[in-house]
Amino acid sequence: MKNRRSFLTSAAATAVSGFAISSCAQNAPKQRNIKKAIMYSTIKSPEKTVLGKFKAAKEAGYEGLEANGGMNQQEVIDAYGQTGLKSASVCCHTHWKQTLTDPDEKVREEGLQGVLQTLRDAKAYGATSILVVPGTCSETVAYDQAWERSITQIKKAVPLAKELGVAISIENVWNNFILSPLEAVRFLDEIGEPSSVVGWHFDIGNVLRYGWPEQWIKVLGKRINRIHVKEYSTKKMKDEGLWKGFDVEIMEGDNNWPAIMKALDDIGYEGWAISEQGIKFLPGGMKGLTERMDKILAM
Amino acid sequence: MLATFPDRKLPLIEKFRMLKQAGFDGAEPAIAENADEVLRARDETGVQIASMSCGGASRMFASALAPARAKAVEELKVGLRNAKRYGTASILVVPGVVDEKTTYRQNWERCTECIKACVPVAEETGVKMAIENVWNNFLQSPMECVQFIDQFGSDKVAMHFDIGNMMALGWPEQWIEIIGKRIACVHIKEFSRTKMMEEGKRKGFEVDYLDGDNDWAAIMKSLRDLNYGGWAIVEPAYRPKDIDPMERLMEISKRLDRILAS
Repeated sequence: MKNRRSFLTSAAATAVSGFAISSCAQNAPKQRNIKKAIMYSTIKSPEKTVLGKFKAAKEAGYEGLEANGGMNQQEVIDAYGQTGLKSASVCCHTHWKQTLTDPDEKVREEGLQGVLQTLRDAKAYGATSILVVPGTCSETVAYDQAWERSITQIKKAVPLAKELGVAISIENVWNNFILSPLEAVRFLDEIGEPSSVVGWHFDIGNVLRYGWPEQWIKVLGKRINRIHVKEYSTKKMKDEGLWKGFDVEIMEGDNNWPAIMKALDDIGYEGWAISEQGIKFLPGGMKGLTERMDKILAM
Repeated sequence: MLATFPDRKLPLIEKFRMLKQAGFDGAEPAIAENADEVLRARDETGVQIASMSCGGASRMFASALAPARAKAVEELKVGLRNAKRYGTASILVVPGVVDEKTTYRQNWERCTECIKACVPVAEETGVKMAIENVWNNFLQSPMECVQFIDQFGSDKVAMHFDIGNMMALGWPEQWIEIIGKRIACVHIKEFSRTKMMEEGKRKGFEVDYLDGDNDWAAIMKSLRDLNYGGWAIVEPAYRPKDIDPMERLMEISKRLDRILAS
């Protein structure tokens, strides 16, 4: 598939060489310095090996890939090398089972070790940001406990993040925790590091259940290091159940993509747009997904 | 809460009589009710005015139009003065709404400004403005509720805690502990997380008292730990059809007794 950026580059070159294209410029897709990547665990591929999945991502038109922490480092490095994909981010592999907010201090320490390993993996792959879920509120973990524990553990990972030059980016997920954009800012401010050390990994689809991504993007602003691209249907949420909201193809849910893209422009977002999108019946599978992502990124 | 009375069309006095008969000690009328009528109903039946619902006015705090906000503030001030006549300790205030047009920050600022404008009347009348957690996409964390309330530096700004409303996001017993003494009033409401997950978000409300996922023993324990001594106001979101209103009221009263004894 023809790459959006190379298309734009050639359009610009045409302009420089003196052809009258000003009348077309209005219809031309917006030029953004945003590249497509995909989350490793969402790759659909008949080939289940690491290299096979990387190849599938490459063939579908992605430029980058978000691997998981704790994988066989050499195997992943080789797969990046062989496919030419870039490391967009690394997703911490321990943050759901060994949460940073677990009542058991031992488990919280295991969670911290997972974050540290993910930072090292990121350095090895050339990624400058990792995705970290800050913990979960549950029947046994109250909101204020989660807040205190999470910040304590993240602060412990800060020295290594600084040493390696890899940012810890907190993701908004369905963890019953940090449910307001103002609170997300407060959380980061309480940690008190620049976004190059601790910032946000903004997941678009996870917000629609109780908010508007375009509003979160503006509130978080420059604190956003990475974005996850994901669709959500508030209609399905209302009619079929909360989780069913995710059961929708990209561009077929209730995300207001033009407003989301405008908000990203307003904050000057550049870098990776990482897909965490399920595919069920989408024509063209992964390729169909990248085509639709191109459409979104051109809105 | 009279807005969720089994038969909403009945005259106010009739509702009060039925409440008395079903064993309720208080009622929560809406701000729009005629104050003299409310007082007559109270005095005739002995049913106290537990709270007054001002959601209709206070939702307008979110308006982008300054005159609309000013009007809402004036309505709330009248509400506070009427509440004093009723002998009511707190009124229910819905803090605006966050939606596509109104951002979280805008709503925070507008609600803060409007509530601040009402604080002098609250101080003067001794009636608390109790902020309710509702499905308005705002104040979705108990820590944020605390921060919002404390910014006014007045004990006349408090919390009207709705147990069922926050179950889509968390656990009431934890919120009660975090918000603590700021809680001036409690709405008793059931919620089914199972239905929310499997049938649709709002379907979570379509369940009778004691049949949902509320851990009433834990909730009542946290209220007792707090030495909570205010009203427990039922807001039955579940409204079965074709049931005699009096019969339904008796059923709710019976289930409320069981909840309070949990």
